[in-house]
Amino acid sequence: MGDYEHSRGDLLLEAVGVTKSFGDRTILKGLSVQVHDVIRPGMTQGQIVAILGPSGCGKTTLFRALAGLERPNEGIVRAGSPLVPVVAGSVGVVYQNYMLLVHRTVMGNMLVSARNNPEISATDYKSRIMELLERFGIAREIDKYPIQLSGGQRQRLAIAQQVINGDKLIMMDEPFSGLDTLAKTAVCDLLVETTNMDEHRTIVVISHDIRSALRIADTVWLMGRDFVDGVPQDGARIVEEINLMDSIAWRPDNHRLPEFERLVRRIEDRYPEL
Amino acid sequence: MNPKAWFTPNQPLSPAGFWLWSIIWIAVFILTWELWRSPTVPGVSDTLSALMGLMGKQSFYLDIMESLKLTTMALGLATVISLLLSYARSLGFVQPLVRGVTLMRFLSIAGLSFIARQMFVSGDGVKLSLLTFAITVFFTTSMVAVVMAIPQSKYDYARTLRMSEWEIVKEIVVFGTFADALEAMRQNNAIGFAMLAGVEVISRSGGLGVIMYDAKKYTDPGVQTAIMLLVLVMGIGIDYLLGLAKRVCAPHTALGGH
Repeated sequence: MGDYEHSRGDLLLEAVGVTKSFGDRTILKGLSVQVHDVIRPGMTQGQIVAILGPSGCGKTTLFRALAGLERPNEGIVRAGSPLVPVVAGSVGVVYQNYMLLVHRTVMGNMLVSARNNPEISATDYKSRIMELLERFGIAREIDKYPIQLSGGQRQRLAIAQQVINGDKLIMMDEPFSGLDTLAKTAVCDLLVETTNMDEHRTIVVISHDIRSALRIADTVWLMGRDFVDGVPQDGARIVEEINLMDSIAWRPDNHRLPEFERLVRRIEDRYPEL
Repeated sequence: MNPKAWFTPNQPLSPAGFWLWSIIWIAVFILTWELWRSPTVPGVSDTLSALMGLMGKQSFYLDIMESLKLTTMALGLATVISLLLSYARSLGFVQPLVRGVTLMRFLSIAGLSFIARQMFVSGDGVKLSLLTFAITVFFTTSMVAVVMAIPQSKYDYARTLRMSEWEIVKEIVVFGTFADALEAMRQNNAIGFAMLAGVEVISRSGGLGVIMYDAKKYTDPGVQTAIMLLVLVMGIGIDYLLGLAKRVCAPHTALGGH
């Protein structure tokens, strides 16, 4: 199945030996991961990495550490080109509940974000915003407040807000949570569309929804804890990296492939021991 | 209209139903009032005739203006002080001061009036300072609760948009709680009106409270009740105007999401 030519480029994000504890409870222990730019000849496409793991294994703590919102007790997280230690604002973040400025309209939300992007000049704000909103299918809603938008539109606005902010790397916390099948497909399409905007655009999706994540990801990290005599030990780490680029990644309707089902079952079978 | 729904828990009340029941409850109130009528408790007609008598005096309108001016100024000053304190709470060194101000709501106004009289020569200064103080301590308490209720994730979200810490104060703390500030203003306007007559009596420099006090001295319960109702109506009027301001200045709150 390896007929989609690709190669790995620069390092875009890395966590090295990240340990995070709260009191005497260790959530992450010596966790290390790397996200590389994936180059596909003739394609303008970024990458989507999925971090999968059962509830309570420390995904949110990892999410916050990668986003620069939580400082690790040990280790370091670096992002960008060249790589520099992450601080809040280094990477974009889309929360599970699509957090927005509720007191501002769609345009207001986008303007606040655009003003903090040094790459956009003040004269270009509105045209760039409109271009992006058109692409995300919410251009007609510019004068509406977030409360007037549907869940899907809010999610689109939350992503657009991070994109206009200049973030190449966007972290998404449980983007498929609480959605029905059709809505999950729409979110998958949206994320792929977002990565198609820029070759270096990278989305890191943290989820426990195996099927949705496998549909769009080119790399999957399985997160979990070590077990000793059947007892989970404190401190999660990445227990396996699954490269999908040589199997199901980027294929249209990849979820109908037998390999897709095999991967789903394999990951599901691993969940009890994560 | 669905009369059965009026007596079933958790059923919505239609606007027509709301008005009908408002009229019924006002009628019940007036009936109860009339039943309690005695030489010391004036009835509805006594109160209305007392009000008519007051309306015939030119000084009455000056007193209304005096009371309105006092409450408006006190609410305005208290709003500025309370909002500054609540927003400044973002700075660590201000937090103990703000905490101290909120604890001042347990101070006795009667005791404070003594200090106010020493500080201000005029009665106007006394009543304005007392009412401003009374509203400020409660307003600050309300607004501090609003600011403290902002979840950490909102600050984090703002940081991911590369806002500086000062921008976060402006966008999340000030603009983000603007609608709550207007709501707190409404609530504390009510406190101002509840205390209005009290501080006017203490300062004895005009206003509806003084008319009420004089009526008590000359045993005219009709006037007292009329003034009480008038203050109630004025308070409700200002409350309505503040509600209107909230809908205009923070339109997202009228969309059902706040």
